[in-house]
Amino acid sequence: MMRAWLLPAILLLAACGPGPEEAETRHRFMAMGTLVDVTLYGVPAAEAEAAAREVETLFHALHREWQPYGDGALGQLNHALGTVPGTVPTDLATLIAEAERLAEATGGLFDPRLGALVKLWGFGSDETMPAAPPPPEAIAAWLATRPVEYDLGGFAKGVAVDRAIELLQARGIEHAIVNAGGDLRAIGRKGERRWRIGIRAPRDAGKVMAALEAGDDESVFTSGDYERWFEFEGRRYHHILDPRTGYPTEGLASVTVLHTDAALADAAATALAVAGPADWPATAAALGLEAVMVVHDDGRIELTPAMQPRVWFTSEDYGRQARVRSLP
Amino acid sequence: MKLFRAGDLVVLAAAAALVGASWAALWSGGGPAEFAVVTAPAAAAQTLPLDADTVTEVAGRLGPSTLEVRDGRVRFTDSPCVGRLCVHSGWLDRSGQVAACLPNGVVVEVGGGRREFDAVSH
Repeated sequence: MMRAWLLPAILLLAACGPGPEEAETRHRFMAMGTLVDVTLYGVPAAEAEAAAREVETLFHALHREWQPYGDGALGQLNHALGTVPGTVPTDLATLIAEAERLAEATGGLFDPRLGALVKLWGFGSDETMPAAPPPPEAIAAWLATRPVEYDLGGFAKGVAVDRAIELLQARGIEHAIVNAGGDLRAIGRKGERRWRIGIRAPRDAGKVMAALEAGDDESVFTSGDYERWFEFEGRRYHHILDPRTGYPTEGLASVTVLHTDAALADAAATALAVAGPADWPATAAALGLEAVMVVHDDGRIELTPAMQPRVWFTSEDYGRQARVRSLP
Repeated sequence: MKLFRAGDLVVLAAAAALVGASWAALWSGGGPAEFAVVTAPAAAAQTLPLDADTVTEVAGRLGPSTLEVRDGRVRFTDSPCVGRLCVHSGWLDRSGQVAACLPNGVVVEVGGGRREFDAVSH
Protein backbone atom coordinates (compact mmCIF):
# COMPACT_ATOMS: atom_id res chain seq x y z
CA MET A 1 0.00 0.00 0.00
CA MET A 2 2.81 2.36 1.05
CA ARG A 3 4.61 1.64 -2.19
CA ALA A 4 1.72 2.51 -4.47
CA TRP A 5 2.80 6.15 -4.87
CA LEU A 6 6.50 5.40 -5.26
CA LEU A 7 6.39 4.31 -8.88
CA PRO A 8 4.83 7.51 -10.24
CA ALA A 9 7.24 9.52 -8.08
CA ILE A 10 10.22 7.70 -9.58
CA LEU A 11 8.89 8.16 -13.10
CA LEU A 12 8.44 11.86 -12.41
CA LEU A 13 12.03 12.16 -11.19
CA ALA A 14 13.25 10.35 -14.27
CA ALA A 15 11.30 12.74 -16.44
CA CYS A 16 12.78 15.78 -14.68
CA GLY A 17 16.44 14.93 -14.89
CA PRO A 18 18.34 13.96 -18.00
CA GLY A 19 19.40 10.34 -18.39
CA PRO A 20 23.08 9.61 -17.83
CA GLU A 21 23.87 9.52 -21.54
CA GLU A 22 22.08 12.78 -22.40
CA ALA A 23 23.74 14.60 -19.51
CA GLU A 24 27.20 13.65 -20.71
CA THR A 25 29.01 15.49 -23.47
CA ARG A 26 32.24 14.41 -25.11
CA HIS A 27 34.60 16.47 -27.18
CA ARG A 28 37.69 15.02 -28.84
CA PHE A 29 40.65 16.66 -30.53
CA MET A 30 44.28 15.92 -31.39
CA ALA A 31 46.99 17.85 -29.55
CA MET A 32 50.45 17.22 -28.09
CA GLY A 33 50.78 14.22 -30.38
CA THR A 34 47.83 12.43 -28.86
CA LEU A 35 44.04 12.26 -28.67
CA VAL A 36 42.50 14.44 -25.99
CA ASP A 37 38.99 13.71 -24.70
CA VAL A 38 37.05 16.22 -22.64
CA THR A 39 34.06 14.54 -20.97
CA LEU A 40 31.64 16.75 -19.06
CA TYR A 41 28.63 15.79 -17.01
CA GLY A 42 25.56 17.85 -16.29
CA VAL A 43 26.65 20.83 -18.41
CA PRO A 44 24.21 22.19 -21.03
CA ALA A 45 25.36 21.25 -24.54
CA ALA A 46 26.21 24.75 -25.77
CA GLU A 47 28.19 25.59 -22.65
CA ALA A 48 29.95 22.23 -22.77
CA GLU A 49 30.94 22.83 -26.39
CA ALA A 50 32.32 26.29 -25.57
CA ALA A 51 34.27 25.00 -22.56
CA ALA A 52 35.73 22.08 -24.50
CA ARG A 53 36.79 24.43 -27.31
CA GLU A 54 38.64 26.56 -24.76
CA VAL A 55 40.44 23.45 -23.49
CA GLU A 56 41.38 22.60 -27.07
CA THR A 57 42.78 26.11 -27.64
CA LEU A 58 44.73 25.83 -24.38
CA PHE A 59 46.29 22.48 -25.37
CA HIS A 60 47.33 23.79 -28.79
CA ALA A 61 48.88 26.91 -27.22
CA LEU A 62 50.79 24.91 -24.59
CA HIS A 63 51.99 22.44 -27.23
CA ARG A 64 53.35 25.29 -29.31
CA GLU A 65 55.11 26.87 -26.33
CA TRP A 66 56.48 23.67 -24.81
CA GLN A 67 57.58 21.52 -27.71
CA PRO A 68 61.33 21.09 -27.42
CA TYR A 69 62.16 22.32 -30.91
CA GLY A 70 60.54 24.98 -33.04
CA ASP A 71 59.43 28.57 -32.55
CA GLY A 72 57.80 28.25 -29.12
CA ALA A 73 59.30 29.34 -25.80
CA LEU A 74 61.00 25.99 -25.07
CA GLY A 75 62.25 25.62 -28.64
CA GLN A 76 63.84 29.06 -28.41
CA LEU A 77 65.35 28.27 -25.02
CA ASN A 78 66.88 25.01 -26.29
CA HIS A 79 68.25 26.85 -29.29
CA ALA A 80 69.73 29.58 -27.06
CA LEU A 81 71.30 27.02 -24.67
CA GLY A 82 73.81 26.21 -27.38
CA THR A 83 74.55 29.82 -28.24
CA VAL A 84 73.82 32.94 -26.21
CA PRO A 85 71.93 33.32 -22.93
CA GLY A 86 68.50 34.88 -23.33
CA THR A 87 65.50 35.60 -21.18
CA VAL A 88 63.04 32.81 -20.41
CA PRO A 89 59.32 33.65 -20.20
CA THR A 90 58.03 33.44 -16.62
CA ASP A 91 55.58 30.64 -17.33
CA LEU A 92 58.25 28.42 -18.87
CA ALA A 93 60.74 29.29 -16.13
CA THR A 94 58.19 28.20 -13.50
CA LEU A 95 57.50 24.99 -15.39
CA ILE A 96 61.19 24.14 -15.69
CA ALA A 97 61.79 24.96 -12.02
CA GLU A 98 58.99 22.57 -11.04
CA ALA A 99 60.39 19.87 -13.34
CA GLU A 100 63.85 20.36 -11.85
CA ARG A 101 62.39 20.07 -8.34
CA LEU A 102 60.83 16.71 -9.29
CA ALA A 103 64.11 15.64 -10.88
CA GLU A 104 65.84 16.32 -7.58
CA ALA A 105 63.15 14.52 -5.56
CA THR A 106 63.59 11.42 -7.73
CA GLY A 107 67.38 11.49 -7.63
CA GLY A 108 67.42 12.27 -11.35
CA LEU A 109 65.25 9.28 -12.38
CA PHE A 110 62.80 11.79 -13.84
CA ASP A 111 64.99 14.07 -15.89
CA PRO A 112 63.69 16.99 -17.99
CA ARG A 113 67.14 17.53 -19.53
CA LEU A 114 67.08 14.51 -21.83
CA GLY A 115 66.28 16.45 -25.01
CA ALA A 116 69.47 15.54 -26.83
CA LEU A 117 69.16 11.87 -25.84
CA VAL A 118 65.52 11.69 -26.98
CA LYS A 119 66.58 13.27 -30.28
CA LEU A 120 69.47 10.81 -30.60
CA TRP A 121 67.03 7.91 -30.27
CA GLY A 122 64.56 9.54 -32.67
CA PHE A 123 61.59 9.41 -30.30
CA GLY A 124 61.15 13.18 -30.44
CA SER A 125 58.85 13.40 -33.44
CA ASP A 126 55.21 12.36 -33.54
CA GLU A 127 55.44 11.58 -37.23
CA THR A 128 58.47 9.34 -37.34
CA MET A 129 59.80 6.21 -35.68
CA PRO A 130 63.45 5.19 -35.47
CA ALA A 131 64.60 2.27 -37.62
CA ALA A 132 67.55 1.32 -35.40
CA PRO A 133 69.01 2.29 -32.01
CA PRO A 134 71.79 4.89 -32.01
CA PRO A 135 75.38 3.57 -32.21
CA PRO A 136 76.72 2.69 -28.71
CA GLU A 137 79.48 5.31 -29.14
CA ALA A 138 76.86 8.04 -29.58
CA ILE A 139 75.14 7.03 -26.34
CA ALA A 140 78.49 6.85 -24.53
CA ALA A 141 79.29 10.36 -25.79
CA TRP A 142 75.93 11.63 -24.50
CA LEU A 143 76.56 10.03 -21.09
CA ALA A 144 80.02 11.61 -20.93
CA THR A 145 78.89 15.15 -21.74
CA ARG A 146 75.16 15.25 -20.84
CA PRO A 147 74.42 18.37 -22.89
CA VAL A 148 71.44 20.26 -21.43
CA GLU A 149 68.43 20.31 -23.72
CA TYR A 150 65.00 20.37 -22.16
CA ASP A 151 62.32 17.89 -23.22
CA LEU A 152 59.23 18.15 -21.04
CA GLY A 153 57.57 15.00 -22.38
CA GLY A 154 56.53 13.05 -19.29
CA PHE A 155 55.56 16.27 -17.51
CA ALA A 156 54.06 18.84 -19.89
CA LYS A 157 51.02 16.68 -20.59
CA GLY A 158 50.29 16.45 -16.87
CA VAL A 159 50.62 20.21 -16.47
CA ALA A 160 48.32 20.74 -19.45
CA VAL A 161 45.72 18.40 -17.92
CA ASP A 162 45.93 20.32 -14.61
CA ARG A 163 45.46 23.65 -16.39
CA ALA A 164 42.55 22.30 -18.42
CA ILE A 165 40.82 21.19 -15.21
CA GLU A 166 41.48 24.64 -13.66
CA LEU A 167 39.96 26.25 -16.75
CA LEU A 168 36.83 24.10 -16.45
CA GLN A 169 36.53 24.77 -12.72
CA ALA A 170 36.86 28.53 -13.34
CA ARG A 171 33.83 28.20 -15.63
CA GLY A 172 31.91 26.60 -12.77
CA ILE A 173 32.11 23.06 -14.17
CA GLU A 174 32.27 20.50 -11.37
CA HIS A 175 32.08 17.13 -13.12
CA ALA A 176 34.62 16.39 -15.84
CA ILE A 177 37.40 14.19 -17.16
CA VAL A 178 40.28 15.55 -19.21
CA ASN A 179 41.99 12.55 -20.79
CA ALA A 180 45.16 13.27 -22.79
CA GLY A 181 46.05 10.03 -24.56
CA GLY A 182 45.25 7.79 -21.60
CA ASP A 183 46.56 10.13 -18.90
CA LEU A 184 43.72 11.83 -17.12
CA ARG A 185 42.34 13.85 -14.25
CA ALA A 186 38.74 13.39 -13.16
CA ILE A 187 36.74 15.77 -10.98
CA GLY A 188 33.31 15.33 -9.46
CA ARG A 189 31.11 12.41 -10.53
CA LYS A 190 28.98 11.08 -13.32
CA GLY A 191 25.60 11.73 -11.76
CA GLU A 192 24.88 9.19 -9.06
CA ARG A 193 28.09 7.27 -9.48
CA ARG A 194 31.81 7.93 -9.59
CA TRP A 195 33.76 8.14 -12.86
CA ARG A 196 34.89 4.65 -13.95
CA ILE A 197 38.44 4.36 -15.22
CA GLY A 198 39.89 1.33 -16.98
CA ILE A 199 43.62 0.54 -16.91
CA ARG A 200 45.14 -1.06 -19.99
CA ALA A 201 46.86 -4.44 -19.85
CA PRO A 202 50.44 -3.82 -21.00
CA ARG A 203 50.93 -7.16 -22.73
CA ASP A 204 47.43 -7.84 -24.10
CA ALA A 205 46.90 -5.15 -26.73
CA GLY A 206 43.45 -3.61 -26.53
CA LYS A 207 42.57 -5.33 -23.25
CA VAL A 208 41.63 -3.57 -20.05
CA MET A 209 43.33 -5.19 -17.06
CA ALA A 210 41.71 -3.42 -14.16
CA ALA A 211 39.15 -0.81 -13.26
CA LEU A 212 38.82 1.76 -10.54
CA GLU A 213 36.42 4.48 -9.54
CA ALA A 214 38.03 7.91 -9.41
CA GLY A 215 37.76 10.02 -6.28
CA ASP A 216 36.27 13.52 -6.31
CA ASP A 217 39.49 14.92 -7.76
CA GLU A 218 42.00 12.35 -8.89
CA SER A 219 44.53 11.86 -11.68
CA VAL A 220 45.31 8.46 -13.19
CA PHE A 221 48.57 8.37 -15.13
CA THR A 222 50.11 5.28 -16.72
CA SER A 223 53.55 4.97 -18.31
CA GLY A 224 54.01 1.86 -20.43
CA ASP A 225 56.74 0.42 -22.62
CA TYR A 226 54.08 -0.37 -25.27
CA GLU A 227 53.24 3.25 -26.11
CA ARG A 228 56.02 4.01 -28.61
CA TRP A 229 58.48 1.35 -29.66
CA PHE A 230 60.29 -0.23 -32.58
CA GLU A 231 62.01 -3.53 -33.23
CA PHE A 232 65.56 -3.92 -34.46
CA GLU A 233 67.24 -7.28 -35.05
CA GLY A 234 64.59 -9.05 -32.98
CA ARG A 235 64.90 -6.71 -30.00
CA ARG A 236 62.31 -4.25 -28.86
CA TYR A 237 63.24 -0.66 -27.98
CA HIS A 238 60.69 1.60 -26.30
CA HIS A 239 60.52 5.33 -25.61
CA ILE A 240 61.04 5.56 -21.82
CA LEU A 241 64.75 6.29 -21.52
CA ASP A 242 66.86 5.69 -18.42
CA PRO A 243 69.03 8.79 -17.80
CA ARG A 244 71.60 6.57 -16.04
CA THR A 245 72.24 4.28 -19.01
CA GLY A 246 70.98 6.22 -22.04
CA TYR A 247 68.92 3.14 -23.03
CA PRO A 248 65.22 2.23 -22.64
CA THR A 249 64.18 1.16 -19.15
CA GLU A 250 63.98 -2.53 -18.26
CA GLY A 251 61.91 -4.64 -15.91
CA LEU A 252 58.55 -2.88 -15.69
CA ALA A 253 55.98 -3.02 -18.49
CA SER A 254 53.74 -0.36 -16.99
CA VAL A 255 53.35 1.92 -13.99
CA THR A 256 50.03 3.47 -12.92
CA VAL A 257 49.97 6.31 -10.40
CA LEU A 258 46.95 7.85 -8.63
CA HIS A 259 47.35 11.37 -7.29
CA THR A 260 45.38 14.60 -7.23
CA ASP A 261 48.07 16.51 -9.11
CA ALA A 262 48.31 15.42 -12.76
CA ALA A 263 51.73 17.01 -13.29
CA LEU A 264 53.19 15.09 -10.36
CA ALA A 265 51.46 11.87 -11.45
CA ASP A 266 52.92 12.27 -14.95
CA ALA A 267 56.52 12.75 -13.79
CA ALA A 268 56.10 10.07 -11.11
CA ALA A 269 54.91 7.40 -13.57
CA THR A 270 58.06 8.00 -15.64
CA ALA A 271 60.35 8.08 -12.59
CA LEU A 272 58.98 4.79 -11.23
CA ALA A 273 59.36 3.09 -14.62
CA VAL A 274 63.01 4.21 -14.63
CA ALA A 275 63.51 3.15 -10.98
CA GLY A 276 62.56 -0.37 -12.03
CA PRO A 277 61.31 -3.54 -10.31
CA ALA A 278 63.49 -3.32 -7.19
CA ASP A 279 63.46 0.39 -6.44
CA TRP A 280 60.06 1.74 -7.49
CA PRO A 281 58.65 1.69 -3.92
CA ALA A 282 61.49 3.90 -2.61
CA THR A 283 60.93 6.41 -5.42
CA ALA A 284 57.17 6.38 -4.80
CA ALA A 285 57.77 7.10 -1.11
CA ALA A 286 60.22 9.90 -1.94
CA LEU A 287 57.53 11.57 -4.05
CA GLY A 288 54.87 11.16 -1.38
CA LEU A 289 52.77 8.78 -3.51
CA GLU A 290 50.44 6.31 -1.89
CA ALA A 291 48.44 4.57 -4.62
CA VAL A 292 50.58 2.84 -7.26
CA MET A 293 50.23 -0.28 -9.41
CA VAL A 294 53.07 -1.72 -11.49
CA VAL A 295 53.14 -4.60 -13.98
CA HIS A 296 56.43 -6.44 -14.35
CA ASP A 297 57.85 -7.71 -17.65
CA ASP A 298 56.85 -11.24 -16.66
CA GLY A 299 53.24 -10.25 -15.93
CA ARG A 300 53.46 -10.03 -12.13
CA ILE A 301 51.41 -7.18 -10.73
CA GLU A 302 52.27 -5.24 -7.58
CA LEU A 303 49.96 -2.81 -5.80
CA THR A 304 50.59 -0.57 -2.82
CA PRO A 305 48.32 -1.06 0.22
CA ALA A 306 46.49 2.17 -0.71
CA MET A 307 45.91 0.99 -4.30
CA GLN A 308 44.73 -2.52 -3.46
CA PRO A 309 41.21 -1.67 -2.24
CA ARG A 310 40.71 0.71 -5.20
CA VAL A 311 41.20 -1.82 -7.99
CA TRP A 312 38.97 -4.43 -9.56
CA PHE A 313 40.64 -6.81 -11.99
CA THR A 314 38.76 -7.70 -15.14
CA SER A 315 39.78 -11.37 -15.05
CA GLU A 316 40.89 -13.85 -12.43
CA ASP A 317 44.14 -14.38 -14.36
CA TYR A 318 45.20 -10.82 -13.62
CA GLY A 319 44.04 -11.12 -10.02
CA ARG A 320 46.09 -14.27 -9.46
CA GLN A 321 49.26 -12.46 -10.53
CA ALA A 322 48.71 -9.56 -8.14
CA ARG A 323 50.43 -9.01 -4.81
CA VAL A 324 50.45 -6.14 -2.34
CA ARG A 325 53.83 -4.45 -1.82
CA SER A 326 54.30 -1.93 0.95
CA LEU A 327 56.16 1.35 0.56
CA PRO A 328 59.14 1.99 2.82
CA MET B 1 23.36 -7.80 23.36
CA LYS B 2 25.94 -9.72 21.38
CA LEU B 3 27.12 -8.05 18.21
CA PHE B 4 27.98 -11.25 16.37
CA ARG B 5 26.88 -14.85 16.66
CA ALA B 6 29.39 -17.63 16.07
CA GLY B 7 27.96 -18.30 12.60
CA ASP B 8 28.45 -14.67 11.58
CA LEU B 9 32.11 -14.79 12.49
CA VAL B 10 32.61 -17.90 10.36
CA VAL B 11 31.02 -16.14 7.38
CA LEU B 12 33.10 -12.98 7.94
CA ALA B 13 36.32 -14.97 8.21
CA ALA B 14 35.48 -16.92 5.05
CA ALA B 15 34.74 -13.69 3.16
CA ALA B 16 38.02 -12.11 4.26
CA ALA B 17 39.96 -15.20 3.17
CA LEU B 18 38.27 -15.18 -0.23
CA VAL B 19 39.16 -11.57 -0.94
CA GLY B 20 42.77 -12.13 0.07
CA ALA B 21 43.17 -15.35 -1.85
CA SER B 22 41.58 -14.70 -5.19
CA TRP B 23 40.72 -11.02 -5.60
CA ALA B 24 37.15 -12.20 -5.72
CA ALA B 25 35.85 -8.71 -6.42
CA LEU B 26 36.08 -8.85 -10.19
CA TRP B 27 34.90 -5.94 -12.29
CA SER B 28 31.50 -6.71 -13.69
CA GLY B 29 30.38 -3.47 -15.31
CA GLY B 30 29.70 -3.07 -19.01
CA GLY B 31 29.49 -5.48 -21.88
CA PRO B 32 30.56 -6.11 -25.45
CA ALA B 33 30.48 -3.26 -27.93
CA GLU B 34 27.92 -3.35 -30.78
CA PHE B 35 29.36 -0.98 -33.36
CA ALA B 36 32.46 1.03 -34.28
CA VAL B 37 32.39 4.71 -35.19
CA VAL B 38 35.15 5.73 -37.58
CA THR B 39 36.16 9.35 -38.07
CA ALA B 40 38.53 10.56 -40.78
CA PRO B 41 39.69 14.03 -41.88
CA ALA B 42 37.72 14.46 -45.09
CA ALA B 43 34.52 12.50 -44.52
CA ALA B 44 31.51 12.27 -42.23
CA ALA B 45 31.79 9.75 -39.39
CA GLN B 46 30.77 6.25 -40.47
CA THR B 47 29.42 3.43 -38.33
CA LEU B 48 30.56 -0.17 -38.79
CA PRO B 49 28.33 -2.84 -37.22
CA LEU B 50 30.37 -5.41 -35.30
CA ASP B 51 28.01 -8.32 -36.00
CA ALA B 52 29.25 -8.83 -39.59
CA ASP B 53 32.87 -9.64 -40.50
CA THR B 54 34.14 -6.95 -42.88
CA VAL B 55 37.29 -5.23 -44.12
CA THR B 56 36.97 -1.47 -44.72
CA GLU B 57 39.38 1.05 -46.19
CA VAL B 58 39.15 4.57 -44.80
CA ALA B 59 40.84 7.48 -46.57
CA GLY B 60 43.13 9.51 -44.30
CA ARG B 61 45.58 12.39 -44.74
CA LEU B 62 48.44 10.13 -45.85
CA GLY B 63 46.45 7.37 -47.56
CA PRO B 64 44.07 4.53 -46.76
CA SER B 65 43.83 2.92 -43.30
CA THR B 66 42.42 -0.61 -43.23
CA LEU B 67 39.99 -1.70 -40.51
CA GLU B 68 38.99 -5.31 -39.97
CA VAL B 69 35.82 -6.37 -38.13
CA ARG B 70 35.79 -9.98 -36.96
CA ASP B 71 33.95 -11.84 -34.18
CA GLY B 72 32.44 -8.67 -32.75
CA ARG B 73 35.76 -6.82 -32.58
CA VAL B 74 37.53 -4.23 -34.72
CA ARG B 75 41.21 -3.38 -35.33
CA PHE B 76 43.57 -1.50 -37.61
CA THR B 77 45.33 -4.01 -39.87
CA ASP B 78 47.20 -1.44 -41.95
CA SER B 79 47.86 2.29 -42.10
CA PRO B 80 50.31 4.50 -43.97
CA CYS B 81 52.00 5.77 -40.78
CA VAL B 82 55.55 5.12 -39.65
CA GLY B 83 55.04 4.16 -36.04
CA ARG B 84 52.17 1.67 -36.61
CA LEU B 85 50.90 2.42 -33.11
CA CYS B 86 47.35 2.02 -34.44
CA VAL B 87 48.05 -1.52 -35.63
CA HIS B 88 49.80 -2.31 -32.34
CA SER B 89 46.68 -1.19 -30.47
CA GLY B 90 45.08 -4.55 -31.28
CA TRP B 91 41.43 -5.49 -31.13
CA LEU B 92 38.77 -3.26 -29.60
CA ASP B 93 35.69 -4.99 -28.26
CA ARG B 94 34.58 -3.20 -25.09
CA SER B 95 32.34 -0.19 -25.33
CA GLY B 96 34.32 3.04 -25.04
CA GLN B 97 37.70 1.73 -26.29
CA VAL B 98 39.49 3.91 -28.84
CA ALA B 99 42.35 3.38 -31.29
CA ALA B 100 43.77 6.03 -33.57
CA CYS B 101 46.21 6.57 -36.40
CA LEU B 102 47.06 10.17 -35.55
CA PRO B 103 49.37 10.90 -38.51
CA ASN B 104 46.59 9.71 -40.84
CA GLY B 105 43.82 11.37 -38.82
CA VAL B 106 41.73 8.19 -38.54
CA VAL B 107 40.07 7.36 -35.21
CA VAL B 108 37.94 4.33 -34.36
CA GLU B 109 35.86 4.02 -31.20
CA VAL B 110 33.63 1.11 -30.27
CA GLY B 111 30.27 1.79 -28.65
CA GLY B 112 26.82 0.48 -27.90
CA GLY B 113 25.84 -1.96 -25.22
CA ARG B 114 26.57 -0.81 -21.71
CA ARG B 115 29.48 1.60 -21.67
CA GLU B 116 31.95 0.17 -19.25
CA PHE B 117 34.53 2.90 -18.70
CA ASP B 118 34.35 6.67 -18.85
CA ALA B 119 38.06 6.68 -19.75
CA VAL B 120 40.91 4.20 -20.09
CA SER B 121 44.37 4.95 -18.70
CA HIS B 122 47.22 3.61 -20.83
